[in-house]
Amino acid sequence: MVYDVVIGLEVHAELKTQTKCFCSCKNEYSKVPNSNCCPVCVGLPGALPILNKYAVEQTIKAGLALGFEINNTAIFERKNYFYPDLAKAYQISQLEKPICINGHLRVGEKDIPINRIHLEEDAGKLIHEGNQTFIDYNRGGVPLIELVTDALKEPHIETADEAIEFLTKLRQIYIYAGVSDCELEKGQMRADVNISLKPKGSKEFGTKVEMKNIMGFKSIHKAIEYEIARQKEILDDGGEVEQETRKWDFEKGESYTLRTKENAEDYRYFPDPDLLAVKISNEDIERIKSTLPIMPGELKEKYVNEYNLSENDADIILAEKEITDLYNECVKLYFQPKTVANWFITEILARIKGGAKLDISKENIVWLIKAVDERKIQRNSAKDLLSFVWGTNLSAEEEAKKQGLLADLSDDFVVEVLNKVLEEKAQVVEQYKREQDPKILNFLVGQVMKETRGKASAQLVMEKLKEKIE
Amino acid sequence: MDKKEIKHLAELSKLEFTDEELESFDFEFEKLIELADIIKNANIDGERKLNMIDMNELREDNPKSGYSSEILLENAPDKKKGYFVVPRIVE
Amino acid sequence: MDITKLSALEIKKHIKSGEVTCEEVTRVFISKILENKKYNAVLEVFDDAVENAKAMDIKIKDGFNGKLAGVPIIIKDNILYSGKICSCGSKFMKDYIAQYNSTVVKRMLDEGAIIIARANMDEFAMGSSTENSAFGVAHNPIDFERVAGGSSGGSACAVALDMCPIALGTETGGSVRQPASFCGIYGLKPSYGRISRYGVVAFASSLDQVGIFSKTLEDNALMLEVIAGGDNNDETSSKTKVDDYLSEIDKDSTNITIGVPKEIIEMVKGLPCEVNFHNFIKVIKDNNIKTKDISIKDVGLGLATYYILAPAEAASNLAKFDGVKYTSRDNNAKNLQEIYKKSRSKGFGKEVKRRIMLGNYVLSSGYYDAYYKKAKAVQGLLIEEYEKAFDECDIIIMPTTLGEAYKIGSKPNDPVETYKEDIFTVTANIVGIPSLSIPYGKGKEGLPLGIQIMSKKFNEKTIYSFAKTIEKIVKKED
Repeated sequence: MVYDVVIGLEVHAELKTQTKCFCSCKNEYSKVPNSNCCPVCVGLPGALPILNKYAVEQTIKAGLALGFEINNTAIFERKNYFYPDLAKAYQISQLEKPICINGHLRVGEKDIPINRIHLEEDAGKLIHEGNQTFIDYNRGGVPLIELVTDALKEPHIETADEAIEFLTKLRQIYIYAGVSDCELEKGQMRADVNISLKPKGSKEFGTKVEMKNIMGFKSIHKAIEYEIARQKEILDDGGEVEQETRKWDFEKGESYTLRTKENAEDYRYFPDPDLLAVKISNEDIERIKSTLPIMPGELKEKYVNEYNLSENDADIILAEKEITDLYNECVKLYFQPKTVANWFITEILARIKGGAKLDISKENIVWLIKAVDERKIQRNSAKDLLSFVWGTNLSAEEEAKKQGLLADLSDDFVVEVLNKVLEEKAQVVEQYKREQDPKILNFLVGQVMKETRGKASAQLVMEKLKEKIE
Repeated sequence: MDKKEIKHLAELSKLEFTDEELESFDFEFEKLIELADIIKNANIDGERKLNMIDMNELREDNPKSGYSSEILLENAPDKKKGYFVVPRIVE
Repeated sequence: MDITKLSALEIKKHIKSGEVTCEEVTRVFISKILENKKYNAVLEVFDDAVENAKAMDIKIKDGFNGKLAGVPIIIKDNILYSGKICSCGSKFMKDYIAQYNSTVVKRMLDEGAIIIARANMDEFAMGSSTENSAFGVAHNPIDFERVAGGSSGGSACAVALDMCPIALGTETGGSVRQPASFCGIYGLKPSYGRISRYGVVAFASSLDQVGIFSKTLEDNALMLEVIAGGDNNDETSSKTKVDDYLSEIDKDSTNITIGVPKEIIEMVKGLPCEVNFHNFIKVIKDNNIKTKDISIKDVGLGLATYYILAPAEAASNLAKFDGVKYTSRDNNAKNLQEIYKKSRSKGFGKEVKRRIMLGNYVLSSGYYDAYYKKAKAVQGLLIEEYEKAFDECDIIIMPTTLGEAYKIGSKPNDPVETYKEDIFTVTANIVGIPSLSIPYGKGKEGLPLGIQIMSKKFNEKTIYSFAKTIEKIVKKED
């Protein structure tokens, strides 16, 4: 039987702020347990939550970057349940009036509808060791934004590939907007996935199965494919999919039941009486909008239409924000966007792929590209220099001088030497005219280089040579 | 209100009751709900008023140094190396 | 001179003039506490009180002139005082040590108060007789067989028996005004947001306020000046200006209008407080103070609204007491679920458990709209009705309690019968307005009764000046 797959995503991202969501403790990782904590985030009696203004602004920013409407009134609710990582036995979250509503994100040709982004607090960390569980509340109270797609509206995310594209793009936008670092391995971005299958074309939705807190895009992809296959098999056999929450075991590559509908939690949401409803004016929204950087979608248009990069090259430059930022800086200094893009792709990204950390100044990059363009230096020397100054404070220009790599010969002199060589090797020139063998050209360039002790630009020599004999 | 419902409430509340306690609870709860039910006579459909705060009056994002974990764990019934401790949780 | 009979303002004056030292004052009050141990008003006398008093003597000699310089204060057992036990009247929290100062404690200490003891209370402030305290009932200062009221019964009894001039209690639905009435003293519940709740163990966050017990109006006003005002640690605290309550207390208030709700006149019919309430109205009229019949149509819905909102918030607020981070853990608990269930079942008393269950009932799926949401809407309605009523008058009056303090153990098993005691007090909490219970008149058994004086939000100063007018009238009549 053929099925329509409906995939819903709930994506959590830790906000980039100085302090936690409801107290002034530092929002940063610490190895020492319970060291970034206070009575509020440890849930001591008498402590009260105080909402972080910047966390609200960051949430609004995330919403605006994704084209959401921003509610003028935001309410915080308590989600009540017992678990040791939840210090107060409730999580402060948002239900009825989240900060952002009705957004969308383009995946392929589809505009995927998104229901909401709300602000909430993260839970602490549990470490299971021996016959004990250790509780650390350093992460407790860290501001999180939760985005929930609207699987009730068309179009849906239907495949694992689309889900991953959605997440990749979302991550890119959050990083661009500066709202979250979204470092996957640190768990700064996590997703819950729910999946249901229905007979192709059917209007009625199938039973939804949720998979909680899957870390890493690869695992998410696998978990989705696994779940689609699992449900398909049940339905093909004439069975019924049970409404449940499953957990993905990334080591085994399979999921198992966490809880079924019967013991579903009743979270008893109600407005947190310790907090006031937050008024967000249209002026506030405009002010925050003005702080948003250009988003990747817009940049891509610019790259392709104004800079004449290919779509593929634009995507490569846009994949990581620090690369994009550096690229934009370099283009600002030297407006040859295509040449700079080529350099980024062939030289800089190649090194990063090889495991290097991005550590090179825009000044050095621009000087090197420019020097090659102006034939002050040979391309190969420039590549060597790039490696030499990478990860140091050295100046490429200074080093080029020191190492005597500068082609400090004037064009006229180079032409003079070239003429001399052509005279001496008239027979070889004749041979080239007959055979058109490029090796002969290289030989002639080599002769000029020999005469100039390698200080001429090989590119320049080749150019001039071609002018002369073709 | 049946026993099953009271047991469900006890589960939500993380409380245990003996059968005897449950018996007397049954009676008391009925009275309590009778009291609460008076609210159903209220003839309103309006929304509740909200106490508002302008977002610009919210706390600024300036970190303060926290408390020492020793103080925060002072009353913990079980602790080890700066952690709160419970018997291992099995999911 | 019996120091314990003096007001805080007088004590301050005597210390400043050098007639007595803060140490002497503190010792005298502590002896008074120990003499009256059988009343069970106080759970613990702080062992550093005398030391702190000595240090204060030096400070005062050096010119320190705090508003409470050298004044001994007793606090309810749910107000955190760093390094001291704060048990909330609960077995579950009997060894709990406060790790930080509540804002009210900090503000009192900054003004030179000596906090000498913590007072008995109904467990987690749930009750109106202190019979729900895990540490035994607090007795009525006038009749030992009767209750002192609750939940701040210990604080009220302590002030009435001269163990301190001023004590702090907390209010959620009448827990300061009712025991003040039973013990024959002043008890203020300020406007919601007037005093920071930071460091006060929450019962129902949207209704809770710290309240003030005193023997004189001036002391009450003095304390409010010290502890009122916005606090960055409590988002619900108000930045509205704090008035000079003390200096404005003698302001003439004879040309104000006193509103008498006709619904209250109906409600008091046949109750023990009826005669006294009508006497009070007559006395104001006789003294040419204008009264006006007003209406608060749905005041009768207050009790039901209260017993939905308060338990709901309490169920959530008390979930963190789970035997994991603090509170005693049951020794027999083998796994996490058992830690939760056994510790909480053993730790909490019957009334607390009952309210947690009720709270979770009204919040649970399927009932939320019918109860909690509806109660919130009624709250909005009552706020509007009170606002309208205050368009017509400056002060609203009603009795504080149904009658005099009742006998210990006399309440039936039906909890609702006990809850009905709160019928006159709960609406001030629901609406968030200030209300002062003043001692006025006596009941059939010769025990004190109280009258509530209520005003618009953040208008405590009008309450004080009207109460002062009444005090003068009463003195004249005596």
